[in-house]
Amino acid sequence: MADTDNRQHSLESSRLAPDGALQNVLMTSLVALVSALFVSTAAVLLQPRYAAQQSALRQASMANLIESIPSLSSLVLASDADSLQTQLIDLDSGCRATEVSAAEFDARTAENDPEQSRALTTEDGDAQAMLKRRSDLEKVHLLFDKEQLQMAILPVHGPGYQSTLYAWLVLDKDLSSIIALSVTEHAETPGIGSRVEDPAWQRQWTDKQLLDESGELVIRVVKNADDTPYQVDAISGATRTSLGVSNMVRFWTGPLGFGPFLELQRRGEPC
Amino acid sequence: MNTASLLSRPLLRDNPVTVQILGICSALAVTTSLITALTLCAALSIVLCCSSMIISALRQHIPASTRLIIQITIIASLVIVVDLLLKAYLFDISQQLSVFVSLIVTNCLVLGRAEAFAMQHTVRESLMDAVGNSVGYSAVLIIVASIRELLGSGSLLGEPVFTRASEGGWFEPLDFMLKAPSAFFIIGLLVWAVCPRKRVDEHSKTKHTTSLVINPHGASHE
Amino acid sequence: MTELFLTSVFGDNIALAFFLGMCTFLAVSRRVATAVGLGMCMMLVMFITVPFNQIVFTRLLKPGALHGIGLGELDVSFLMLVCAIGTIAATVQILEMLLYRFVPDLFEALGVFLPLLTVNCAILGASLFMVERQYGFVESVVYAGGSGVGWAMAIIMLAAIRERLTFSRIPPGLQGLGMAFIVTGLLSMGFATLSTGG
Repeated sequence: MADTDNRQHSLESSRLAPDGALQNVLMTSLVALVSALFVSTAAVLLQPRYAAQQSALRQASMANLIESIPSLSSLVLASDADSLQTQLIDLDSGCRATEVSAAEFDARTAENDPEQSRALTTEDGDAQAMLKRRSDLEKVHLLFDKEQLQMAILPVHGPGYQSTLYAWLVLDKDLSSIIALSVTEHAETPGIGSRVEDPAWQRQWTDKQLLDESGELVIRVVKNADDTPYQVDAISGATRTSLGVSNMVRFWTGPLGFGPFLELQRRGEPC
Repeated sequence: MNTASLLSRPLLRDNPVTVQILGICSALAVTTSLITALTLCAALSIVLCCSSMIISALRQHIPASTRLIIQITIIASLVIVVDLLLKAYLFDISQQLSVFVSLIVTNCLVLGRAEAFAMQHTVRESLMDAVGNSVGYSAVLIIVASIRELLGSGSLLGEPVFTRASEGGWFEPLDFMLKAPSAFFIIGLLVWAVCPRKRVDEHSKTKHTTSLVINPHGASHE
Repeated sequence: MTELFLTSVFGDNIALAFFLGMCTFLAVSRRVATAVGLGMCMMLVMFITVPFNQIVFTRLLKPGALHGIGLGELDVSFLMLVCAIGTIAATVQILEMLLYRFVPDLFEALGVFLPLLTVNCAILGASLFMVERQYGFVESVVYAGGSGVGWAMAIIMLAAIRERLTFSRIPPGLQGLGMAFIVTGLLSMGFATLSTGG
């Protein structure tokens, strides 16, 4: 068989290369050095473009979000020109953070910086369902009409099945009715978990309620959801990703996320 | 070996997936949609061709004891750069492919061809072999991905081909096609379709892998 | 933790749900004895490399890791791939030497497949998934243990079935590899019932 000849040949030709310790060390070091240079150069050259793509995607996602939801875009058009405000919120207190400018704040870098974030432990909840770290500050985008809050757009993220999900949660003026949920980034299983991005599934979230009549946070994704405004139907075959979305929404509208902020806003006591 | 046979044998007779059992993991995992399969094929082809050429060019200087780690370093560097290129220029698709592009490093096809062919042949021959294997591998992936996407989503390359029942058409997507086991069945049937009469040579599998034996004392043996 | 362990053994079985380590999986599964030996090696290598890579990632490579020495801005996470492979190659080399010295029977029985573990996608994949899901150290250990057990269990099952299939009447074209694929597909379907999907 031809392969035997090949392998015989391989033994011959590799014996041509001296196999002493010096040769081994020299050759491996040389290859390592050249590879390192090659990879580092590529990383340095390509990183800015990648970073630009990522931030372009995130900025575009806000514009896409507004365009894709008719009620949102008509509201934006009907209100004053500068009515979509970005505020930086201190999550624990629910108040505006004034020391840092919202424009310069990047939540993703802050999340990894021990001085601008904190770790979430098992005391905070089920480790599987939560992020590992949470930034102390987060941006929110609020739509005002004549100083009345009309809508809040909250950036939310959380672990899915095999990647981190990023989405926008759009709340109506009562900060309990959901206008829309829009998943913008994920790396879930193509064709299965990735269906959380389908407009058809996301449409389910419109007109659902975060809170029930007594003010309890009840919204969740379940299999075979009923018709109440507190349940969203999970994607069949993509339960884990769907639950990831559920956990994400519940976390960020709960006490560890924007909960304190939303409570203050609902009571009409923004600070 | 002449160019024609180098290019044509890996298509059918020595197909990397159905005969050599190389590169299976990605063949199964990324074939739920045609576009991801095509992107992975392109990435793998680039890595395979470049690594075969580089390793072939260096073959006289690579000592036997450390040859695996040297080959892996070269392949890994190429994969990282291809991954960076993908993230910079094809951002959306790279999100879906994340782990699997990195896994090209351990794709037995790349290392297998480097070890079994590039180490013993000239740069030109290694390139031809790499191209042949890339085409053979891509052919299998494209067939599997087409079947899975068509029957699983009713679309091809993202464009709807069959009108789905949910949109008033006749086609009810076969969810099973998007799941793990369907890929196994399709490839199994593909193996059967490729050689219906000949009994598969069991020995050919072990022969390919024995070339990677390294005795801890330094000399390689069969 | 128990849930993580059980999920990585059954529902998220690294061989049958994520298809990692398939080449070795299909090639070594013709005899149960070799499959058991390889499974053991697989478990050991995963158990050592995943937690070690977790430490390397969190202490050295990830953004903000080098905060303590004033390099908090540095993000060298793109080096994870090469570092992970380095760890795995070193572990496999050491394992090989230890087996040769202390368990020569197993060394002989495994032959070529021991060094092949260096390029096993399951082992590397486990480390990469650990990075993706940001596991802590204890979680890495549990996950590595579970994945190893799951993979070993899967290959032993397939080997047991294939040994018996040699005496069945199968169409010539399907004998060997073709049938191996189909049986693995059936095994995968079985395991899918244990998973909640994703």
